[in-house]
Amino acid sequence: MKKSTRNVLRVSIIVLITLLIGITLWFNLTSGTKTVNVGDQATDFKLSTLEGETIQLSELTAEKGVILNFWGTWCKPCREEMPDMNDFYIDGHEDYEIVAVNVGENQQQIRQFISGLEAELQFPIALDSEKSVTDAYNIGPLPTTIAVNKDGVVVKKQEYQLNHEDIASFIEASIE
Amino acid sequence: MASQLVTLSSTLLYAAFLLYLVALLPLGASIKSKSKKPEKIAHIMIVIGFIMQLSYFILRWVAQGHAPVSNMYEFITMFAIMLIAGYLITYYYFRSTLFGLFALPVSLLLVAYGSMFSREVEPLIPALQSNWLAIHVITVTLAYGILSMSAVAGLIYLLKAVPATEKSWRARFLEAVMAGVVIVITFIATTLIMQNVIGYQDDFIYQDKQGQTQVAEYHLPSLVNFEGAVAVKNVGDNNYEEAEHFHSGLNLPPIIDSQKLNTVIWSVILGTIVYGIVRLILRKRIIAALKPWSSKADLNLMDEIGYRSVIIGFPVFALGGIFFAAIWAQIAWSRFWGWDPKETWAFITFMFYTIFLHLRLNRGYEGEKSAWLAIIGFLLILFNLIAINLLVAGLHSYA
Amino acid sequence: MKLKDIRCESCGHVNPPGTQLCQSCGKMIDNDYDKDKIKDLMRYDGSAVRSKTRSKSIFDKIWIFFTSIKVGVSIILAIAVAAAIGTIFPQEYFIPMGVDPAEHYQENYGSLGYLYYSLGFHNLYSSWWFLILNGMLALSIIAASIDRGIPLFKSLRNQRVKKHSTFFRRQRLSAMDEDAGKVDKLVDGLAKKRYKVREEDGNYLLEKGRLSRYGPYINHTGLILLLLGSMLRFFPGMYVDETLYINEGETEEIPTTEGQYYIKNEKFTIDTYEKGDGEVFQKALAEGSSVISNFQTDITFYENKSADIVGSAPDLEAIDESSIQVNHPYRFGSYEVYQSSYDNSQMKSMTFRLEDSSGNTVGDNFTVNLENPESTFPITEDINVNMRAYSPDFLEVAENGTLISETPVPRNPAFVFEVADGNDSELSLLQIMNSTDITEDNEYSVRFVGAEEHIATVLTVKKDHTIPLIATGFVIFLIGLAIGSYINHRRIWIRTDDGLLMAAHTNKNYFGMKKELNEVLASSGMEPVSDKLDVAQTDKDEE
Repeated sequence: MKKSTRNVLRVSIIVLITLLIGITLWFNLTSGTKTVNVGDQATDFKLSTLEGETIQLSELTAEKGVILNFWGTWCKPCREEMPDMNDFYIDGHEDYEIVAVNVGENQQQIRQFISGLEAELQFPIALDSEKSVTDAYNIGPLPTTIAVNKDGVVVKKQEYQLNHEDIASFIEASIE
Repeated sequence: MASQLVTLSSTLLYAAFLLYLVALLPLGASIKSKSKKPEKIAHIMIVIGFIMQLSYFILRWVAQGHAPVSNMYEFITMFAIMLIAGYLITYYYFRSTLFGLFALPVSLLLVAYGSMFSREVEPLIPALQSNWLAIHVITVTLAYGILSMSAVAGLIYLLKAVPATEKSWRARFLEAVMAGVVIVITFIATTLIMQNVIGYQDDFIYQDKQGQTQVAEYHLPSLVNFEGAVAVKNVGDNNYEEAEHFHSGLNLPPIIDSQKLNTVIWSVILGTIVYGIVRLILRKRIIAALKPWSSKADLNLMDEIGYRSVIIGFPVFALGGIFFAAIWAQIAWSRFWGWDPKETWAFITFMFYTIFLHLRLNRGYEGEKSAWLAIIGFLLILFNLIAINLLVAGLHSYA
Repeated sequence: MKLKDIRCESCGHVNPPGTQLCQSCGKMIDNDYDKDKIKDLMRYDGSAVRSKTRSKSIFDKIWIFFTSIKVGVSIILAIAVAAAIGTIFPQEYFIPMGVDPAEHYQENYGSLGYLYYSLGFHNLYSSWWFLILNGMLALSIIAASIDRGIPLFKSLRNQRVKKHSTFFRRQRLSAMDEDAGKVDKLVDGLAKKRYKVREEDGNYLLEKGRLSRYGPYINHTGLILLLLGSMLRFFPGMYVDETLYINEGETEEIPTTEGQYYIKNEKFTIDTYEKGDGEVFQKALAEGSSVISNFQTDITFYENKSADIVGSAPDLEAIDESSIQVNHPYRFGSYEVYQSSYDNSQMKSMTFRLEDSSGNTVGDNFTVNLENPESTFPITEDINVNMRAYSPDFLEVAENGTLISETPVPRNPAFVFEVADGNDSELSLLQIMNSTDITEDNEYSVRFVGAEEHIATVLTVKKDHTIPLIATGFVIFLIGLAIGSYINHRRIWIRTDDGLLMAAHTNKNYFGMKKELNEVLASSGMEPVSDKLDVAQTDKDEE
C-alpha cells in the first residue's frame, strides 16, 4: 500500500469513528426530549368537546391563534388557573381561542368540577379520553399550556400554573 | 415412578461423590509410585463416577421433564460435572495424573457447595420455560469446566514455581488462595453439621425491604441480624410465638441480607481458626505442605494446559455465555442485552479472558503471569456463580 | 527522512524498514518493537509492524497510540472495571418507576448511594464516557488489526521456501539426520497429514492451517460490526422500547405505530401449578407459596383503516387473534410484543346496598363503574340513589363542597350519595372503611358490599433494527474465534544440502505438533524432534 493511501485510510478511519461517537452522543443526549418545543409545528388533532361538538386544531388556527391548556380536575394549579383564563376569555376572544384539553378523565368528573365553579366556563373543553393528543404533544406535568399562532407554529409553552400576566402574554403570543 | 427416579438420580450423584473421594487415594499414590497401576485404578474410578453423574443428569431430566439446570443446586452440580468432563478431556490429551489430584477436589467442593441449596425438584416458572434453558446452561457450564482447567494448571504451576517459604507477595497470595479454600470447606462442613446433624435453628421475624414480614431461619447463632428482628419459635404450621435466642445485639438495615452475612462471618471466623490449627499442625505454610505433590509437575506442560484450556474454553463461553444467552434474553425479556448484574459479570469474565489472550499472545505473559491470570479468571467465574446471587437479586435470581 | 531497508548482518538478506526478524535467517534485527521479551518472535513473521516504521502528523500519532496492545488492553480493562462499578447498586432502570432517583438512592443506599447517583453511575452503560470508551475500543481494534494484519498477510503470501541455516537453529522445534535421502519419505508422511508442500531445489516448505492466522482479524471485523450496531441503537427510528398497559377488555393504540395498529386485551390469565401436575413436584408445591406456570394475554390485533388525525376515533379492523406468553412474543412487521408483567392494583367498580334504619336491605344492590360512573341508580320503584360527587383518589372536601382527588386513578374512591325517595333527600359521604352522614337524622344508609379490580396486562412493544447487524457481527466474531482457536498454523522447513535439516513452527499447541511430527519422523526412521523449551527446562531442573 502506498504511503498516501495509508494516510487517507488512517485519517478517514479516525475521523469516521470520532464522527460516529459524536453523532451517537448527540442522539443519546437529545433523546427523551421529544417534547413539543417553541418553534415546532403543532400536531393537528381532532377531539370532541364536552358539549358534543368536534374541534380540529387546523380549523381553529386558520382564523385565530389558539391556546391549548392541558389539565385535569385532580390537579390543583389547573383548578386555580381555570377561572382566571375564563375571565380573560369573557372579556373578548375575537383574535384567539382557548381550548382546555382534559387529560383522560370521564365526563362525570369534569362536569362535577365545572358545577363547583362560581362562573360558567365559556371556552370549549376538549376530551382527550384516550390521551392520544397528550401523548402526541408529549405532555409531562399538568398544567401545560401551549400557544399556537395562525401558522400552526408553537410560539409559547409553560409547564406550571399561569398567573394573570402569563395568560395575557400567552394571548399576545398567540395573536402575533 | 418419577419420584423413584429422582431418588435414584440423587443416590447416583452421592455415590459418585464418594467414589471420587476414594479415587484421590490411588491418584495420590500414582504420583509417588513408579507403577502404572494406581493411575489406571484411579482413572477407571473417575470414569465410572462420571458415568454415574451423567446418569444423575439424565434420570433427573426424565423425572422432572426439564433439563436439571434450573436452580442453584442443579446449576452448580452441572458445573462440577463439566469440570470432570474438562479433566477427562485434558487427561486423554496430556496424560497428566497429577492434574487429577488437583482437579478432582475442586469438583468435589463444588458438589458439596451445591448441596447447600434446596435439592427439591421444582416446576419451571414461565421465564424458564424454553429450550434455550438447556442449551444456554449446558454450554456455559461446559465452558466453565474447560476454563477451570486453566486455573487448576495455574495452581499446580504456582505451587511448584513459587518458593513456599519466600517472604513475597506472590507466596502470600498463593497461601491466601489456600486459606480461602479452607474457609470454604469449613463453611460447608459447619453448615451441614449445624443444619443436618445438630439441627440448630433460631427463627427471627423481620420486615424486608418491601416492608413484608419474613422469617429468617438461623442455623448458626446470630451475630448480626435484621433491624427490628424478633426472636420467635415455630409452633406448628405458620404460627410463631416469641422466644429467647442468642443474639449479639448487632442489627443492620434490611438492604443487607443479615442472615447470609451471619453465615459469612461465622465461616470466616471458624475458617480462620481451622486454618490456624492446620498451620499449627503442619508447622509451615499450606503451600509448603502441598509442594511435594507438585514437584513432579512439568512446568511447560502446565503452562501449555493453562493456555490451551483458555483458548478452547473461551470460544465456548462466548457462544454459550454471551451469544445463546443473548438470543434467549431477546425472546424471554425482550432485549438481548440489558446489563443485568449476572449478564454484566459474564461480560466482565469475557473481557477478562480477552485480556488474558492479548497479554499472552502479544506481551509475553507466559508461565507464572499466565498462571496467576488463570486463577483470577476462575475466581471471577466463582464470583459470578455465587456472589452475584448472594449479593444482588437481578433477573437471574433463580440461579 | 526516508527509512532505509535493513540488511541483515548475519546472512545479508535485505529486509524492508521496520523489520524485526530477518525474513531469511530469523535473526533479531530490531529489538525496539514491544520492549518486553517475547518468546514467540514469529508472530508477525518478522515483517514490519506498520505503525512502527514512521511517525509524523497528529493523525499518525493518534493512530500509533491506538495500535499498541498495551493501550488496547487498558481500554478493555477500563470497560470491564466500569461495567463492574455499574453492578454495585442497581441501575436506574431497575428501580421502581416514578420515584425520584436521587431520593431512592439516598434512602436505600445511604450517602454512598447518593454519591453513586451524583457521579452518574446510575446510568453508567449509556453515559457519555462509557460510549467514548467503546469508541476507543473500536479504534484500537481497527488500528491494531490493520497495522498487524496487512503485513502479516503480505509476508505469509510471499513466503520463501529457502531459509538460512541460522533460521533452523532459531526455531523451537528442530530435527536432523545425516541421511538426506530420508526426505522423500518424510515429506510424503507429512503430506498425508494434509500439509501443502512447496519445493525449491532441495528446500521444502510444508504448511497447513494458515487460515488460523487470520482468525483474530476475522473476529475483530465481527466486533467492529457489533460495536457499530450498538451505536446505531441511539439513532432515531432504529429502536423502539415502549410499555403498553391494557386493562382486560380494553383496546389500546400500539405506541410509535402512528395510530395504525391497536391491540385488545381479550383476557389476561395467570396459571399456577396444581398439586396434580406431576407427583415429583409434590414436595415443592406443598411448601406453601404457589408456583406460577403461565402468564398469558389473549389479544386481538387491529389495524386502523382510517389512519386519520390524532384524537379522532379509529376505524378498527381485526386482523389477527393470538396469545402472548413469556418466551412467546407476538410479532407483526418489524415489531414484537412481549408479556412483561401485570397489574391488579386498580379498582374497576364498587358495589353497594341500601339499608334502612332497622338494618334491612332495601331493593337491589347497585354497582358504580369507577371509570365512568352513572349519576343515578334506581333501587326500588320509589327510591333512587343519586351520585352527587365522586373522587377516584380522595384527598379532601373542597370549600364549595365538591370532592378533591389527588390523582385520577381509582385507588381510594369517595362518593357523596343522595338517597331520594320522592319526598326527602338525604346525603352521605362514603369512603373506604368509613361513612359519614352529611344531612342529619338519615333514615337510610349506603353500605359497601364489594369491589372488583381491573386486571391489566403490561406488554413491552419492541422494535430493534440493530439486531441483524449485531447478530451478524457476533456470528462473524464467533467464526473468527473458532478459526483462530481451533485451527493451528503449522509450518515445516527442510533443507537437504548438508544432510537433512528440519525446523518446525506452529502458532500454538507445540504439544500437538510434536506428537504429529514424532509420528511421521518415527515412520521415516528419524529421531524425535528436539524442543528448545524442554531442553531449557531440563537444564533448569538439574541446576
